[in-house]
Amino acid sequence: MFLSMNWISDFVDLTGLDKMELIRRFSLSTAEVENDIFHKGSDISGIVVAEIKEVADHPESKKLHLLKVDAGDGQLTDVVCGAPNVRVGMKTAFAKVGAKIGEIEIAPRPLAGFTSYGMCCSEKEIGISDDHAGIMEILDDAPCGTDIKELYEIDDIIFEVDNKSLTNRPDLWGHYGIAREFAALAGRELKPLDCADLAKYNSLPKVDMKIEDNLCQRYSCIQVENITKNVSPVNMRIRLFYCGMRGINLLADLTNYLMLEMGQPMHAFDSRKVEKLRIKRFDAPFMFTTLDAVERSIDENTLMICNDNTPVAIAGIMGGLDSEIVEDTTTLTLESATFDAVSIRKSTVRLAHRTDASMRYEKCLDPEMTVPAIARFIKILTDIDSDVKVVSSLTDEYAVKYDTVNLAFDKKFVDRYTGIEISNDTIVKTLKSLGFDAELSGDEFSVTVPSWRATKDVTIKADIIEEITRIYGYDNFDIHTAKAPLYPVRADLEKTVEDKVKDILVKRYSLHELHSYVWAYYDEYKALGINVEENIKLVNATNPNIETIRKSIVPTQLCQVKYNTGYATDFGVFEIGRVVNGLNDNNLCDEHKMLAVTLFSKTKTVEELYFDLANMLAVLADDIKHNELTFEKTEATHSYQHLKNLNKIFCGEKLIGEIGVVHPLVSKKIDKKASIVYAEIDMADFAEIENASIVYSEPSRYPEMDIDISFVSDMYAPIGNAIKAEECPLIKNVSVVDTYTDEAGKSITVRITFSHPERTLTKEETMAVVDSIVERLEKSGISMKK
Amino acid sequence: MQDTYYLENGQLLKSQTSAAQNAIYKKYKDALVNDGVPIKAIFPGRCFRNEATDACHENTFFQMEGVMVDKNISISNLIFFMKTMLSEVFQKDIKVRLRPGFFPFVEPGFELDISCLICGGEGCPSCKHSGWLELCPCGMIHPEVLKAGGIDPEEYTGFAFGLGLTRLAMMKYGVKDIRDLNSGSLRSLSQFTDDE
Ligand SMILES: [Zn+2]
Repeated sequence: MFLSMNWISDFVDLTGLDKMELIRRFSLSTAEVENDIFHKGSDISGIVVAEIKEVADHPESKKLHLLKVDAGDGQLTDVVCGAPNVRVGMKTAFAKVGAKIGEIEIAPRPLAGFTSYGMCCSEKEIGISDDHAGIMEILDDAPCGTDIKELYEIDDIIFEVDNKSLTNRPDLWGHYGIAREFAALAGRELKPLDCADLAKYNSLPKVDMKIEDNLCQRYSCIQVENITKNVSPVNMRIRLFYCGMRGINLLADLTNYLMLEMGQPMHAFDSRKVEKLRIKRFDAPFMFTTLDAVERSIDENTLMICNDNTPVAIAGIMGGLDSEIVEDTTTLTLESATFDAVSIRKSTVRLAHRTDASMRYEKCLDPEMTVPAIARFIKILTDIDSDVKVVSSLTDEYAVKYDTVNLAFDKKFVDRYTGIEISNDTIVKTLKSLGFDAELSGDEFSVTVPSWRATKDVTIKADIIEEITRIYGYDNFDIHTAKAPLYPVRADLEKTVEDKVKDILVKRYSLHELHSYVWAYYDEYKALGINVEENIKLVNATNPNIETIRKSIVPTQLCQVKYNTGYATDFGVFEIGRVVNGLNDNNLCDEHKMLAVTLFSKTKTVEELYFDLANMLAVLADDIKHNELTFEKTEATHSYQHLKNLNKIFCGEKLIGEIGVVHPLVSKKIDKKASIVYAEIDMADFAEIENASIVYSEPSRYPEMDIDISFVSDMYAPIGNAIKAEECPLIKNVSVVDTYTDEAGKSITVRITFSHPERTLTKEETMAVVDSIVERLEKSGISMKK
Repeated sequence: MQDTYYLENGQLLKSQTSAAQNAIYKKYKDALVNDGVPIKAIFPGRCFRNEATDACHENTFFQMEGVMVDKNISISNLIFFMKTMLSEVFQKDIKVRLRPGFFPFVEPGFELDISCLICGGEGCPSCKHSGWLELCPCGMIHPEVLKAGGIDPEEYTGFAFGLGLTRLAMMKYGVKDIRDLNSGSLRSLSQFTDDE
């Protein structure tokens, strides 16, 4: 919404104050003002009233005329003018030599063989309307030579407020409400509206009007006839134009003017078409043509203004074509009403038709405003056109009154909320300046909210805090920290474990943390030969490619690896994120937070990479849970898994996830030459595992003995299990030291570390254990490498 | 809501983190009332919005909400907290200003602007020459919200704020395309090291 400082200044005297600073404060205290502020009129100067004294045709041009104009400087000036509406005796706006219009300075100018000493201007050239059909005609009485800026309010500051920031302020949809804010901010008096005294028409007959539906809260109307003028005063047209509206005719301009001034939408009917005004809904839908000549379908929920049973307007939205003011209209009925805001909003949505009026009604307008708006309308109209006659008394039905809001609170309440000292005086003064009724007795304030704020905006005590503090100014707050005792809080287990996992993976293993989306990507998965598995779907995904929620992070992570194959020969990525595994018994998503890790290498064999990952996970379990992992072969069930090289991961007894090699076909599609392995762990399951307590044992004073043995195998798990099964107290540690491939196939070298707490070990006793392990493994088909 | 993702079973992908407020109040209200332990919480969360993506719009992003509730939490405390926190985040002295703003969970509610990170308040194209950047909503927790969490608003007050965590990271590091953050591109992401 555009706002005019001139208009605001009608209601509050801002003389001597910095207007730009006031606008800035308004933006911080009331509603956001857009950055661009327009200084209207600042780009024109030297334009005066001048009378055309002579008009002669140009000898060679049909369009051009040679004029002699009186610009009030005691001589006639020669002007060449192309406007079609020039005539002798006409007064116009004349830019003298030396005048400025925008960037242009007017100078004597040769035009088709004659010199023009100045320029007659159109309204558009002066910037006061978009009329460029001819030069401006000045009807007002003013001597030639009068600067038009003195004659008309061309100089103005126009600023724009974002409508969204006014959603909750029905009182700010007109200049008068805005002026109230400026008055409060400037500490100056808000002037009362200059209104007609409607009481003097009380003896006239009433309009036949009846509210038959409580969606209409209040309906006020009056009848007027004998309007002889059709054109609005220039200053009125300028204000409307500056505020973004086009001048139409006096009556239309005046309803718009009232709406922009008071925020009250008004409508004028041809009285012949509304002999029996009824406000109601209809039982069945019908078609109705609005004054923009569009036929609209109206349903049974839409409130209508009717002439008995004939609809004449959509209440609060738009008038009908049939009841519009026309050429031969003699008497008009002026409507000023309030309607249920929710009903108007819903009707606007159903009709898909939002108007300046409906936009205001949606905000819960003040029902106390309908009558003053009529009184103001009559005042302005009769000032402009003294022939106008009011022919009915004010007819007013107030069906649904707004709820009066009274609030009581004490000084302590204000102190507690603000945290600063605002004096009782300031509180009362601020509230009064905003139109609140505020009384202080002892330390107790009692406040009555004015009607224009009570319809939905200010309802609780906390709202009053806003009123006091925003006018006080948040920039003026003395700010300080909250003082409160400190209490220790136990850290959240899952979060702590998550942080530790991230730390280890990033800092020790230089993995990259990635984030991805929670849905499967059909196209990207397909490119890698990964199936999108059946799962719960989004019902309103705009992109069908992302319809299904993922069951695992791994497929998306493989897509990310594919995207990054050129990044380095070796890298690893991980993500902790959510997946959904279908629905649980309560028909809710079975959500899991998973850790997914993928390693990519062009320098390592898939076996080496697999052991890297297994070791990495073992370190996580050891560092975070002081626990060991065990692995158990399992069957592939997903399209991205290797059919054989796949293991379940257990921590203690608990199954926490899986580790495996990526299916060779998928792996090849990512990179023909790379090894790719992955693991996925359920973070909640991992977090829940009890920390194994550390059992301290005195280190042996006797030397340890390492024995390396190689087995022909591509899996470590059975080897590790065989060593464990030995249950030999002399074995202190087992680690994989090498993997390689030769003519015998893939081999793994493990190092077993032996020690005894009380003596030096003999070769015989350790070899006995090794032999037993080898025997165990040979039984399961894994032979020792000689 | 038009911009929410709904699932087949009627659940939705959360579009904001506010739902957590109620759970936090219920969990800690006894400690607040019985032991005088103030509630101070921040809760980041992944949020989803069903909209077309471009350099400024993502359908998946992080938000963070924070609350502080005690007997005398004030607007003055709120401004102090926001100024201090944001100065720490950006590692420089940040000026903040509040403007009235309407948000359903707070009253009074504010729009918080910070001094432009690029020009420091002098005015530049990135702040549209105003010297300020609109950053986040905040306000005093609405009495009904406290009540719903089992906390008596006559005795306790609190402030709340909501921060676009993803947007904050973009501002801090000068990321121009929000989609970079979920792209999985290591060329982009490997720049975010663990130092700060
Ligand atoms: Zn800037």
